[in-house]
This record gives sequence, C-alpha cells and structure tokens, in this order.
Amino acid sequence: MIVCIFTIVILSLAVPLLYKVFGSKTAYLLAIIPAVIFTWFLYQYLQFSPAFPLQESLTWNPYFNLNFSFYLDGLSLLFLLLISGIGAMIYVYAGYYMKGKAYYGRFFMILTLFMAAMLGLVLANNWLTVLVFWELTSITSFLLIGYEHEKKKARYAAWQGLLVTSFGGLALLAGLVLITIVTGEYTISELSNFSDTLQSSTLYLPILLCVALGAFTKSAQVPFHFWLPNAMAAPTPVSAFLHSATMVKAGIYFLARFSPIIGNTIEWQILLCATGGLTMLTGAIMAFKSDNLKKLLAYSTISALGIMVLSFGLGTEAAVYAGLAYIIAHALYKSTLFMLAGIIDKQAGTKKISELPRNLYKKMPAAFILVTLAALSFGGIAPFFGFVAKEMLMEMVLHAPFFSSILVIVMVLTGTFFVTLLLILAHSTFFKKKGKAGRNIIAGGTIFYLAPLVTALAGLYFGLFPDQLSELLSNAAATFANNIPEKHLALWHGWNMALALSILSIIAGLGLYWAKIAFNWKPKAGFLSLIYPSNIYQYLFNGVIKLGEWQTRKIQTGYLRYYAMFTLFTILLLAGFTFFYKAGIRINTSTIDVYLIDLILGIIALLALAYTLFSPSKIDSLLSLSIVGIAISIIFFTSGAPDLAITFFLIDTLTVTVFVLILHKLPKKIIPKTTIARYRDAFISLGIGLLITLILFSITYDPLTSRLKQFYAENSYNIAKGKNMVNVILVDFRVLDTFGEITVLAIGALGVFALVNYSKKNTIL
Amino acid sequence: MEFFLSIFVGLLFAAGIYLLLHRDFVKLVIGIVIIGNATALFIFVAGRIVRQAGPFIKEDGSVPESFADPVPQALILTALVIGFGIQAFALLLFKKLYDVPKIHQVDDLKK
Repeated sequence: MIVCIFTIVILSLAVPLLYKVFGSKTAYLLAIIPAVIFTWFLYQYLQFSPAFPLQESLTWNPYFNLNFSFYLDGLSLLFLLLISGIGAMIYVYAGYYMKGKAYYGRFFMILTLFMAAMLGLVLANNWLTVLVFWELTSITSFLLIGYEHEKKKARYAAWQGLLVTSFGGLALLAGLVLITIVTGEYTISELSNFSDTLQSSTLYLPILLCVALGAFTKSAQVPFHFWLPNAMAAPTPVSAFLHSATMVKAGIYFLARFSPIIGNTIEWQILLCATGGLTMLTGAIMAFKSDNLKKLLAYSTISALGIMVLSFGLGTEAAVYAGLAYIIAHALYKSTLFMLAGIIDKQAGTKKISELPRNLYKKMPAAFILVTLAALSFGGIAPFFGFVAKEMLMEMVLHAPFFSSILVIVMVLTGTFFVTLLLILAHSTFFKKKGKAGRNIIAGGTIFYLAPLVTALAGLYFGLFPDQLSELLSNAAATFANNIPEKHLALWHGWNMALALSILSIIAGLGLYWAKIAFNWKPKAGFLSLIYPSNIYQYLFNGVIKLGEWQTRKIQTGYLRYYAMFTLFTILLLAGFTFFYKAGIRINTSTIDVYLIDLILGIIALLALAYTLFSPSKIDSLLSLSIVGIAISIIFFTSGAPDLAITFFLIDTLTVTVFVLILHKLPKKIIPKTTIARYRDAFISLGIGLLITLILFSITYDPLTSRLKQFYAENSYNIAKGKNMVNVILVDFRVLDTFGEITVLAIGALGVFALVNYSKKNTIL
Repeated sequence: MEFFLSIFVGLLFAAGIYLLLHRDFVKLVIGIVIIGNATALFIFVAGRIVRQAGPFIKEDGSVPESFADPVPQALILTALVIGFGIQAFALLLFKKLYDVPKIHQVDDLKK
C-alpha cells in the first residue's frame, strides 16, 4: 500500500515528462495506474479476504507519533475500488476531453496527485497522516477547480472551495487533537476501543462538532454546500471525479470511519440526521431549479451526500447497508451523468438545458442512451442499481428508530425530485422544443463514450446482480460494528412498503415534471437564495479583507510617530498586563531615605526637565537638558560611581556641544504639538513612566544576591592587578565587549563622516 | 534612595517618550538622549545604591566591607558611549534631511 501511494506520487511528478514523449496519449497511459490498483486490490481481496484487515507501517517521525501507517479493511477497500475504478474511467474520458487544451501535462499531474491523496486518505490509519492527505486533497482540488485560471470565476470558485474545506480541515484537526487528549491514541483503528471513554468524556460534544464540521464542509452539507456548485468551474472530468468517487466522499468516508468511535449517540444521530435531511431536500430543490446541466448534477450530488450523511447518522444495520450501497450507486450514475454532461457541453457548446436544440437525441444518440441509462439509476428505477439502493433507503427510513414518519416524508420527497430530475435529464435535454445552440452538432469520437458506457453498464449490471456486491458491502459494514450480520442484496424484495413508497415517489415525480412542463416553470432564484449561505460567505470574505485594509490604514499610517506610538502602546499594554498579573505593586519602604543634596538636585533636575519638555526654543531646551545631565552625573557621584559621573559629565558636554554646532544651521522655531497630541502623548509616556517606576520598585523590593559582585571584588586585584573594579571589568575581564563597543563607535563615526561629506557632493536622496 | 530614584527614572522615561513622539527633529533627538540617560539610571538603580563607597579595592589589596556593584557601572559605561554615538548620528542624519530635501519635521518623511 505504501509502495502504491508513493509510486503514484512519483509518477504524478513525471507526468509532464511523459507528456513530452507520448503527447495526448499520456492520459490513456496514466489510466493504467488506477486500473492496476483496482485489479490488484480486487485480486488481493478475493485471494486473501480472511486476512483482512491488512496493515502496513512506515515510521516517519516517531517523536510526534507520526507514521505512514496504512490499514485496509472493508470500508477502505470499498472506497479504494471506487476511487481507482472510477479514476481509470476518468483518465480515459479526460484523455479525449482535454485533448489539445493548455497545460495538459500539468492537469494530469495534479489529477494524479489528487488521486494519490484520495487513496492515501482512505488507507491512512494514523490520524496525522490522514490529515496530511485530507489537506492534500483540498489543495489539489483547489488547483483542479482553478485549472482555467484565466477565468475569474474559476479562481473565485477555487478560492471558495479551498477556504471552506480548509476551514473544515482546521476544525477536524481540533477534533482529532481533542480525541488524542482524551485517549492518547493516534491510530484510528485502535480508537474504537476507546469509544466508551470518548463518549462519556466531557469533551465529547466539542469533538463531535469539530469532526462533523470537517466532514460537513468537505461533503458539502448545508450550510456549507455552496462551494460545490461553484466548483463546476473545473473541467468536467474533474467534476465527474470530485462528485462521484472522491473529494466530497472524503467527508462521508470520515463519518463512516468515525461512527464506531464517536457515533451512535443521541447527539450524533440528531446532528447527522438533521443536517443530512436538510441537505437532501435543499440539494434536490436547488437541482430542480437549475437550468445548467452541471449545476443540476452538482445540486443532486449535494442531495445524495445528504442521504449518505443521514444513513450514517441513523446508524442502524439497514441504514449502514443502505448508505454503503448508495455510495456505490451514486458513484456509478453520477460519474456517467457528469461525463455525458461534459460531452454535451463540448459538442453542443452549451450546458444550459433550455438552449439545447430540439432534436439532440438524433444528433447524439449514444449520449441519449447513456444519459437515460444513468438517469434511470439516478431516479431509482428498476432494474438499475440505483433502484436497489433506493429500496434499501426506503427500508432504512421505514425502520428508523425515531422520527420515522418525518424521515419517510423527506425521503419520498427527495425521491420525487430525483424522478423529476431524471425526466429533465433524459427528456428535457434531448427533446426540448426550442433551442438556439449548435446547428451542426456532431456526436464526438467513440472513445469519448467508452468511459461513461462502462460506468453506466456497471450500474445496470449491479442492478441485475446486486448479490455480487453483498460480500464487499458486508465487509465494509463490519467497520461500523463487529456483529453486523451479512446481508444479501436483491433486486426484488417482493411487494412491500418500500416498493409502494418508491412507486409513490415515481408517480409524484412524473406529476411534478408534467407540472413543470405544463406551467412552464422557469428556473429562478426563489426564497432559498435569500438564505443562501454563499452570501454569508461573501460577506465574511469581504469583511475580512475590509478589516485587514482598515487595520493597515490605521496602523501603517506612514507617519513615523504613529509607528512609535503603536509600538509603545503595545509595550505598555503587554508589559503592564504581565507586570500586574505576575508581580503586582511592591514597595520596599526601607529605601525611602534621601539626603538633602539629592533632594535639591532632584528638584532642580525635574524643573530643568519640565523646561526641556515645554520650551518653545531649541537652544533653551538643549541647555536645560544639560542641566538634567549634570544633575544625573552628580547623583552618580554621590552614589558610589565616580567613573560613571566623570564619563557622564563628559558625554553630556559633548552632546550639547555637537548639538549647538548643528543647531544654528536648523530653523530656530519648534513646531509645537497639537492639543490632542499633547494629551495622547502625555497619556502614553506617563503610562510607561509609571510602569517603569513600579518595575523598579518591584526590583528593589527583594535583596540583591550577586555572585558577580563578589567575583570581581575577589579577583580584580588578585588576577587582573587593578584596584578599580569597573576599569578592570572593561579593559580586562570583558575586554572583547569593549572591543565590540569601540567597533560600534567607529562605525557610528564612519556614518557621521559619510553624512558630513554627503552634503558637499549635494546629491539628492 | 532607590524609592526616589525610581520615581525620577520613571519621570525621565515619560519625558523622553513624550519628546520621542514629537514632530520636531530636535525635540526628538533630545527625547532619545533623555531615554538613554533614563536607561542608564534604570540599570544603576536596579543594581542597588551603595552610598559614597565606590567599587575600589583598598590600597593594601583587600576587599572593602561595603562597595557599589561594579557590574551595572561597567554596563552603563558601555551604554553611555554607544548612546553618544547614536545621538551624534541621529542628529547629523536629521540635519542632512533638513539640508537636502528640506525636511524639518518627522511627518514630512512620509512624502
């Protein structure tokens, strides 16, 4: 399994090279990959089915519990066969569809990567690995949806898909992290042992919500369904693949995988059934209103996904089987329908049903037959597999443990819409009265119809011989619970309630279609579009951008002062918060002692300081600054730091000298602060000043224990032969630091020198 | 002593920052100078004050009973010298800004 995934990834990178060699035949060549996987796994399964589940593991990073561990059980196998089987068909189909299009090599490279990610997702057993593949499908599908990146619509749709699904991915990550917090387990197949622990944990509800959010966004459940119809901007082979067997099925797979772990609680059932039921109806109604073939199919996919979520939400034996069977049925008919929609779009030049010509069935007879075959399965008409699945669904809702009657109504309603959609697909598309598009439509090459033919016939075959799938489904169902009995699928269950409901929905569907034709209902955005969550998405999307712009405008003003102000204000808040949170105000009262001379000095210094602050004259503020400097140096002198006092005095004098030298070349008048600026700046600076005072109080509260002081006292004479400890430190113990200091000063001098010379050349900045 | 010096340092910082946010270049540089001085004093106070007993070894080579901590003093010395370098550089930079593109307040930098 590991080899298989990695081979595909490597092959996908080699696709552009293959394209150089084989040209547009590359796709048919690539179709061999999924075909081989399909056959190999099918063979493995038939040969060694008692040996299931298969496990393989490759350590990646044991420190983070990160392994490429793969696990193949019935559920994985079902998805694996779907992905590879449909995948092979998609390649054959895409080979024709994409012929001569730009970025051919790139397209197949991403498609292959996407398939690898999908296969990895259903096989991975370590949830970290699952997440990697999960996000990989999001990213590759982003690239596939945005394949025609010249179009704004495609870019927009790709963005939307990525944002919604990666939002879900984040939720999923959170959910999985919570699961590991509760259980300490990273391996999904082991997690079912912890289901009791998880379900009785206080974190259960957050876990459930997060996991469900991830699955719902991926599987386009209401209210996250809006990205899927927009994803129609992708080339049709991609849509066919995304909708039938991959991407949106990833969420379904995940729900199925986690249902033995966190499923079958009241919360799970309510959440999934409500969402699933709502999605079923919304999807069906929106599909009914669509005029665009691909949109119609996309909405019907949403509806079908709702059905699957509902069935896994119910979680009864009948429901599990029905859900699994429906996954297969849906994959077969939906891929067929999408491929044909693509053929019609390509040959007739339009996807709009109302624009197609009257006698399309004459011009594209093969398309007509195949659409009818698939649509019959879609509508749940015997003897197609869709019928078998639908009977099972009817059984499921009839025997639902709760709200059975409501679920039956929802199911029958959805069935009705599906029948109507079947008629729209098979009748409206090919026999519509008027249409402007494509006078000279040609059917297209035989190979174009090969892939949909296979999938459509598979739908018919499994409809006639559904028992062929019994074992596969039973194995997959074993994932949900150990004691699920095997079930034998059959086309004919005899006259029962489920059949009656089916017939009811068919009759109602016919009626609805007749009404649509008779009253000429135009597809239009009704009340549903008012609450259409796409608007909310758009609002949020714009909101975030606006917020970002506003914030940038406010903070990145371009004025130096404001940058300083924001930085200082942030420091004030963060440091202030930390200070009061960690330390608090502490004052050492024993340090409240002062000599008269210091007091006088301090008062003089503060007066000078105030004058420096508010004096309108530059020279005056400079002179008062030097008074402050002298006061400080006297403080140093009286506090046991004569070296400092001397240096400080020197530096202060030098500063003032340099200032005066330059000052007379500058304008005399100072530009004053505005009144608002005064209060604002006073607030910030007094805040920081106060904080610093408090910090100093806090520092001096505790007695100082300095080993360094003792060390220098003992060693400065013994080792360095110097009696002035400060000097010894500077020129002996820490001489390298002093050297660095000199270097800095030299660089500073160099800068000053450059600045002085710069004016002589008088070049402009 | 530390109590009063702490208040003094806080006021120095406040004044320095108030000037740092000034539109006028000269006031701004004065702000930088004051903040530099305040930082020096901050380190000094944090190292505790020992009055009138410098960090000197006695003539006979023995360690005195009480003396000021030499470590903060050494640090401050370094800081003062480098601070002076910065002040000189900043001052000249602003002077050049005034000389050549005729910028004489901080807000004009935006142009």
